[in-house]
Amino acid sequence: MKLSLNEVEMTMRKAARGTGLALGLAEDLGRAAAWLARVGQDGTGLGLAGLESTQVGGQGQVFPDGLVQFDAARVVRDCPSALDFLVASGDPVHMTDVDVPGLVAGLAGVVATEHYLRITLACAGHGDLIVEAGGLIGVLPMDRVDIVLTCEAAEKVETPTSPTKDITARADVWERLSALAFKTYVPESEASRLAGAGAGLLDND
Amino acid sequence: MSAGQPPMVALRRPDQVMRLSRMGAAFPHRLSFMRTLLRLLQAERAEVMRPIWQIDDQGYGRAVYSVTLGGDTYSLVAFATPLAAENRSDRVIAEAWDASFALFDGVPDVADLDRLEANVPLQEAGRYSLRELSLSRANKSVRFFEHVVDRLANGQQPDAAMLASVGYLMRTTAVYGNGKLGFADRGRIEKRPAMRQSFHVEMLNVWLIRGFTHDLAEHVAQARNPARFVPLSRSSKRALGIGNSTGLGMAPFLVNHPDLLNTWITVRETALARVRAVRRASAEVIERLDQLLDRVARHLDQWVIEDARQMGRVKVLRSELSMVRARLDAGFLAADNPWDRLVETSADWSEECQELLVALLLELYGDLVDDLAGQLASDTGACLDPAQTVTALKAQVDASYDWALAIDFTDTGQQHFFWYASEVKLEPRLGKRFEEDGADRESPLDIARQVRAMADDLARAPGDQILAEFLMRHPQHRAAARRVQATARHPYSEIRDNLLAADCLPIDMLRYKLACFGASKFDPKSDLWTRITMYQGAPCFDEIAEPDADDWWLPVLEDTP
Repeated sequence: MKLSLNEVEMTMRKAARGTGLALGLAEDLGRAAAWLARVGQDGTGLGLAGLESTQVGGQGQVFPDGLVQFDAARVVRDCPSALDFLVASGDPVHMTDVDVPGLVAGLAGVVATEHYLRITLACAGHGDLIVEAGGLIGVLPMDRVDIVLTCEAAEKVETPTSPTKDITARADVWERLSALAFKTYVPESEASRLAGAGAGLLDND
Repeated sequence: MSAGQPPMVALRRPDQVMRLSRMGAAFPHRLSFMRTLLRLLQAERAEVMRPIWQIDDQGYGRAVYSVTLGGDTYSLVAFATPLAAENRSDRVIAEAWDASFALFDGVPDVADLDRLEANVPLQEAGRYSLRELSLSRANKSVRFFEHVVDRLANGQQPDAAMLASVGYLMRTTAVYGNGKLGFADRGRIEKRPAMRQSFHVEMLNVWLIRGFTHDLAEHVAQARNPARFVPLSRSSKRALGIGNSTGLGMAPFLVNHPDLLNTWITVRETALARVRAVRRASAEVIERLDQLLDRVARHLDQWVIEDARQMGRVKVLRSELSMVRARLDAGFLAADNPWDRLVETSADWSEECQELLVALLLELYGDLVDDLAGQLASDTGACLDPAQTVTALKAQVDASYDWALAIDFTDTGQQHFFWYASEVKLEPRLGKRFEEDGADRESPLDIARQVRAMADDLARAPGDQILAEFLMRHPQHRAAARRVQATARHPYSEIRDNLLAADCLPIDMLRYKLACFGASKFDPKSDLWTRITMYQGAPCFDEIAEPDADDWWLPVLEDTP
C-alpha cells in the first residue's frame, strides 16, 4: 500500500511504544524508518524486523582505553547509543552480531542529517556502507553482521524532504505495525466515550 | 539586534509567556495564520473560480473551487450529502457529516473527482493520494442554516441577532494535513513560498469552505423560491465565518511540536518587542489606536457566550478596556516609549487584557512586524548533543525546568489526569488516573514528570559523564534529555505547567493554538472543547484584492445585515 512519510514515522513510533520501547528510542526508530523510506529503502519492513527481534541487547560497554562496544546488539535499543558515542567522540564504535543491520543505516541517516556527517558502516564480510544526509551508497546487509561505525564531517547540503517515488509497505508488514501501534490506544468504555472528550455525542443545534 | 533589523526591546521571559493560563488568554493577531494567508492572496489579487457546481435543489452534490497562489493552483473539492440527525456529531468519533472536503494540489479531472467522491465523505476510512493536501469535514449549524435559507428564499437577510449569536452556516470538526491518511506530506509543498508558513494549507482549505457555505445556502434558497430569492448581502457574507469544534487533539500537537511552538511564540514576541521599541507614536498611529479601541469594545460587547468562566473573563475585560482608554490619555501617548510603558503597566490588569493589548499593538504596526510572517515555518526537530556532560544537562534542567522540579508527584493531585487516544478513531481523550482504566497506555504528555525522573537519575550520575553514556545506562530518559537540550536553544518551546495536574485546563492549550490560527469569539463548551469562529469579518472571494482586505482583526457585526 502507498503511504506518506508522516504515516511511516508516526506509525513506527507508536508501534515501537506498543512494544514497550522507551519514548526517545521510539522517536528515533520512527525517524529512521521515514529516512529509509525517503531514500527508497524498506523502512517499514526493517523497522518491524527491529521491533520483532528477540535479541535482548543492552550490553554496551565503555572500556578503559575508550573503546565502545555493543555486543549482540539489538539495533532498536543499542544503535542510538552507539551513534551517540560516535558523534560525541568521533572514534570508531563497534557493534557485534547486529540483529537488523539495515536498520542501522536508517538511524545513521538521521544522525548524519542532523550533525552534517558522513557515517561509514564497515560491515564484516559485506563491505562498507556510506550514509550521508542525502542518501546511502552501498547495499544494505540483510543478515546478522558485525559493524564498525566511523564518521567524518560532511558538507551542509540541502536534504530532500520529499521522496522521489511512492512510498509503499507490504500489507502484512503494515498490518503488523498497526497492530503494535494499536496497543498504545485505550479500549473503549461507556465512561470514556461519554466523558473523555468533554463533549456530547450529538450536535444538532 | 542584527544589522538591518528594526530596534527592539528584550523579549518577554519564557517563564512569563509559557504559562498555561497566559496561553489560554491569547488573542488572534496580525501574524496569525489566517491573516498571513489572506495577505498573500490579497497581494496576488487572487481570483477564486468555481469550475464545477453540481449541487441539486436540496443542496447535495459536489463542487470545486480553484485558486492560484504563488504560481500553484489549489482546488477545494466539496461534497454535500444528506445526514440524519442521529448521526450529526462534532466528535472525532463521528462517521458521517453534512459536507466533506479535500484540498487538491492542482485542478482535479473527472477521474480525480470520482476517486475523491468515493473516499472524502468517508474521511478517516478513506485513502488518499499525494495530490491531496488537506482533508476536512463540516456539519451544518442546523437551525441557523435553515433560518438563513428560509430568509433568503423569502427575500430577507438573516436576523441580525441570530447571525451575531451563531456566526457561521457550518462548522468544521477536523481539518487534517501533513501526510495523514496517505495524502501529501508537508515536505512536498514546504518550499512553495505561499505554503511555507505554518498551516497555510489548512487555512486555505477553510477559507474556501467558508465561501462554499455561502454559495450553498444561496443555492438552496434560490431553488426553494426563485421568485422571491435574494442573495446574501455583503455585510451578511462578511459576518458569516466558518465555525469549528475543537477538542483535545490540539493539546498533543503543541507538546509534540516544541520547535514549532517556539517559532510561533518567538515571532509574536519579536513583533511585540519591535513595537515596544517605538520611541514616539505618530498622530496617524494614535488615530488608528482610537479606531481599534472602539472596535475592540464593540467586539467584546458582541462576545456573548454561555460558559460562565469565559463570560466572566470577558466582562472583566470590558471593564479593563475602559481603564486602558483612561490610561492612554494624551500625556501618556505623547511621552517617549508609550507602548513599552503600556505593556509594563498592563500588569495591573488580567492576563486576558494583557494579551489583548499585545495583539492590539501588533495591529498598529503592520509595516514593522509583517515581515516576521516569513519566519513562521521552522519545525526542524530536536537534535541530541551526546557530548554534553551530566553537569551541563543538570544546569539546563535547573534553568528551564525549575517549575517541573518543584512539582511533588507523590501528591495524587499532580497526577490526576492521563492523556490518551481512544481505540475508537484514535479520538484524543483525558482520563482520571485514579478512577479510570487505561493509564498504562497514556500518551507521553507528562513532560514535567519525565524531566523530574531524569533529574533524579542525573543527580546520581558522575558530573563528568557524557550524555552518550548516561543514556546508554538510562535509555528511558532519551526523550527528556533531547527535550531539555532543545528548550535551552528554543526557550519558548515548552508549556511550563504540569499537564497531568488536577487544575490543568486543556481549554487553555486549545485557545492558544486557535488564536495562532486567527480564530476569535472562543466559546468553550467544557474544559475540554470549544467552538470558535474562523474568518468572521474576513474578505470574501470577490473582496480579497480590495485595499482594506486585511482590516478584519476582531470583527464587529453590523446591527443590520
